[in-house]
Amino acid sequence: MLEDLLKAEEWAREVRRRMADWAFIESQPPRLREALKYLVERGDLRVAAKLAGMGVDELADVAKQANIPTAP
Amino acid sequence: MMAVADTCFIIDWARYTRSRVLFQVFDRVLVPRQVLDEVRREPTVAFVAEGLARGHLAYYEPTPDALREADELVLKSLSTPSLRRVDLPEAVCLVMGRRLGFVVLTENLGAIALARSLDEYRGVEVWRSIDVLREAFRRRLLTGDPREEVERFSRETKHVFREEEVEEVVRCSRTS
Repeated sequence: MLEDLLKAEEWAREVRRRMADWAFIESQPPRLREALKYLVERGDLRVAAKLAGMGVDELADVAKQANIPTAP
Repeated sequence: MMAVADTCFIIDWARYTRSRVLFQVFDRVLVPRQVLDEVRREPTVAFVAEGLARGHLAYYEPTPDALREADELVLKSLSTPSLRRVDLPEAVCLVMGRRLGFVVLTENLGAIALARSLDEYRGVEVWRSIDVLREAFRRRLLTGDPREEVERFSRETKHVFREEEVEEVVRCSRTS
C-alpha cells in the first residue's frame, strides 16, 4: 500500500517537472522562484507558500500561472 | 455523511464550477480554524463564506486536547523516516476523523500514508477529490461523461489524476 503511494509521489513529480513553465518560473523574483522549484520537486504547497512568504491559496494561484499541476 | 476538509482540498473545490456536488455527497463539511487561517484569496474566502452561510460548511475550533494530539501526529510524521510529513491543519483533520468518524478530505499523500500506517488511525477514511467525484457518479449526483467531468475538474483546478484513477470513476459511473 505504501509502495503505491511512493509510486504515486514519483509519478506526480515527473508530471510537475514536465508540465511546469520553466521560463515563467525562472523569471520570478528569487524567493518566489525557489519556492516554485521546491513545489515542483515536493508538491508541498504549504511549505512552498512559507518559502515564498505568501498564503497557501495565493501561491496556488501563482502555481497555476506557472502551469504546475497539483498531483496526484 | 460528515467530513472535515484540509486547505488544499478547499482551494481546489473553490475553483470548481460544480462544487455544489461536494455538499450533496456530504451533509456537512467541517473547516478547522487552522485551515481557515490559511485561506486568503477572495475566491477561496467567498467559497468558504458562502458554504458557512448556507450551513454546508461548519467552522470548528479544535480544543487544546485535539491540538495536542494533532501536534503529536505532526512530530511522529517528521520523526518516522517511512512516513511523509503532515502539517498541523491536516493533522487536526486526521484527529477529527479519528475521534468523530468523519471522512478526511485532503490531497496530501502524507496524510493518506499516515492513516494507513499508524494503528490508531487505520480506520480513518481519507478521500481525495477524485474519490468525491467517483462517489458523486456512483450516487448519480453527477451524470454525463465522467471522463469529461474529471477533465473539467482538472482544467479548472490544475489538478491531474492518474489514468487508473479516472478509469475507476468511469467504472463506478457504469455500475451505479
